[in-house]
Amino acid sequence: MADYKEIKGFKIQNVSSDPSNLTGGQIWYNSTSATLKGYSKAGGIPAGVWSAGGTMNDGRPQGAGFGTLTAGVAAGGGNTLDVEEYNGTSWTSVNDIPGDGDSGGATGTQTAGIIYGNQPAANTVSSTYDGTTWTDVNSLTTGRPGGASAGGFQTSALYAGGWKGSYAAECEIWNGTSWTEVADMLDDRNHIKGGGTVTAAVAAGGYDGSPDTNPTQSEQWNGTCWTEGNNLNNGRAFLTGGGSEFTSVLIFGGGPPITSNTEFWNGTSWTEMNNLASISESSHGTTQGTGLGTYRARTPGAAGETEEWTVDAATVTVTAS
Amino acid sequence: MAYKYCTATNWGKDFFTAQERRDFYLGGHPGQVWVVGDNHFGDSWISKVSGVSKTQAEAQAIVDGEIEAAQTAYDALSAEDQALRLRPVKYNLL
Repeated sequence: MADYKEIKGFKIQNVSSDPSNLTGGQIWYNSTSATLKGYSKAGGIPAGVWSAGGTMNDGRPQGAGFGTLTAGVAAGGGNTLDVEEYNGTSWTSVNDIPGDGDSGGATGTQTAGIIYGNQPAANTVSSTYDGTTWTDVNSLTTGRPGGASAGGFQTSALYAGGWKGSYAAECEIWNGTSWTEVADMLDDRNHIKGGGTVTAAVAAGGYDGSPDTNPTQSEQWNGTCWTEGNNLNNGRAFLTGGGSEFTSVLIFGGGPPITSNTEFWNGTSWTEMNNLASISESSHGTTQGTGLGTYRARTPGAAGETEEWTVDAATVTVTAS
Repeated sequence: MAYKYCTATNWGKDFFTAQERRDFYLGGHPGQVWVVGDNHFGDSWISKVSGVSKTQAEAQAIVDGEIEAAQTAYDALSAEDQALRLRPVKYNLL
């Protein structure tokens, strides 16, 4: 097995204070604090900021989004079949989804993704994407748009809440072959957003929480049941965002009124981050990675403008677990 | 904090960068209206994007007009489609 010296070409520094001019991936031992430290983008609460991304060919609201910042997919939205892929610079139109897509859930990567829960409320269709072709697969038990997605894989997804003609608390898990209904959320709600895995997830915001004027509500899934978690700082529905790790979920925008707020979930609580440059309600986002995201602006009269969340590297203490 | 106001067409990638977001306040609004922090970084960005200077009142009027048009479009949607969207509401620029 390669050691650090073989990988980086030098020994781990033993220093009395943290070095300056750090580069991503650098590791050192701080003899004063007797701690092993590193410099990366994944530690703690990431310091990030939104910048302008490529402009979509067909700007539209409320579509499903999955993949990463540099390999993303925006599927449906605005009651269209349109699909576009993002490479971190520009958007390219690709094969349409099989049926109209709006307000659906999604997860996975650009070459192995899955969408589900599109409008209308009774629509149970799920479709997988291999980077080229969409294929209908086994359906949701309860058709409903507007739910929260987690999972991170085409073979492992979670979908909770939404609108089934009434507010939904249902939660289903996809194992790569079929959907299985599991324990309901504590409160039925619509237009929520979440992230994590099928064994550790968070879902927050939305209409019809408890009480129904409480869009700050956040619930956690432990693989068996939902429990009440720490609330959002700014209650709202129509959110965008997600994440494939329970300790690194980013949500942004939403309303009413339509907002530019951005919040980060670290596995325990929500922290306010730097705002979007422009306000946005539900739109396309990413599902993979640690707090990275891309979004399509949904301001009144907007075309296809997007913003990208860029995370600054930070010094972290290395721990064993 | 003082602000400047301009209109500029967002061309996409790098219209505003992460570093620029760190250097000065920038807020985007309907009608391609931008509220820009009043410092030399903000001035440089306005030049970069060929921003057309506006007074606050002029900028507010553009935003209001865009929101009124969006409200009209929203009100024309079916009840089912309205349930999928937020009705834009007017707000005051910084």
